[in-house]
Amino acid sequence: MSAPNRWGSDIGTGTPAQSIYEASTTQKHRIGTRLKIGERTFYYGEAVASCSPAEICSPDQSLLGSSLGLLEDGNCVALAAGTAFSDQPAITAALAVGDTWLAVTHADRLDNVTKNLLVDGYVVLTDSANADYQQIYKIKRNSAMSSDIVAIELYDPIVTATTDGTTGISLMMNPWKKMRPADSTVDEQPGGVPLVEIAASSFGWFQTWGPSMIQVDAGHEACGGLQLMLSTTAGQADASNGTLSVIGDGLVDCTTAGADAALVKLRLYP
Amino acid sequence: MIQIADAATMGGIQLMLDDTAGQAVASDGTLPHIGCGLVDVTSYNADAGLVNLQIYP
Repeated sequence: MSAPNRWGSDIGTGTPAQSIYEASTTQKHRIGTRLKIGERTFYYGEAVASCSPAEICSPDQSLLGSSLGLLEDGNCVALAAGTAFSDQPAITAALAVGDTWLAVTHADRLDNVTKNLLVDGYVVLTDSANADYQQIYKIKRNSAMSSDIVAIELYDPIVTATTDGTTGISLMMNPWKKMRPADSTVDEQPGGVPLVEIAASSFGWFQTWGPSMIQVDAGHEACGGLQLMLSTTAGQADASNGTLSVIGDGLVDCTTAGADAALVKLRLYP
Repeated sequence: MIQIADAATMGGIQLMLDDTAGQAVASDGTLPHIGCGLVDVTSYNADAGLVNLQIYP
């Protein structure tokens, strides 16, 4: 009897429904699905703008209202049962142990949050008044913004009760959601590099670890052996100055920066 | 998440150990790499920030 060739199966080996050299207008895997091929790692993502081969891409953080994905202290609010989803329970501003829902509010930073934009993203609840209150959870689903409020359901229940008014919130989408070419001035979450063009609203694999290629910005042709970071040119890399996020290491110099792709060792998500 | 010592604008920043136990600081390229900040925080010295840890895969 042969094992079922079903992705994610716990018996047998899954086979991806989409090649690493293929973009698709049809979503064939869950966003964030991991694919390991030898020493290379890929994650399945969705483009919000055209992502060319060898461009470093990042989630479009403007969809969370700023480059920060930040909500300040005191932005948890109460929400009556059934307001966001028919099966959504009543939500309190101060969260209790066991709660799986929270509601966040902001005057403008949530304006572009659509239903389920945050699925498989993360929320940090942080309380500077009590270091033991720091918590991070993965997001199961979210409502679209309505009246400056977004309701969020978590996969896991809250393990530490929060204090209304001193709890700060950070939000991020899944690291491969709404991808676009990244630059050092706006997109602070480099997520991966496609091997083929993934057009806006299409889906494909973004490489995150191992031997790959990146377009190199002018002046950094001799990138072999150098640590790399985002450049000010979208999708391209600069030699690192030791401060910005690590993307990877150059392996081989390239001839013409700004267009040529250099061989690199990606070090984003293993 | 990591508690941040002095880098509120930590989104996109490389992080290293701070001299306050348990907290991270913006890297100057000298100490071992801990990870990269993903989202800025409002206040530091206790608040935790979203980070991409890159210590042991």
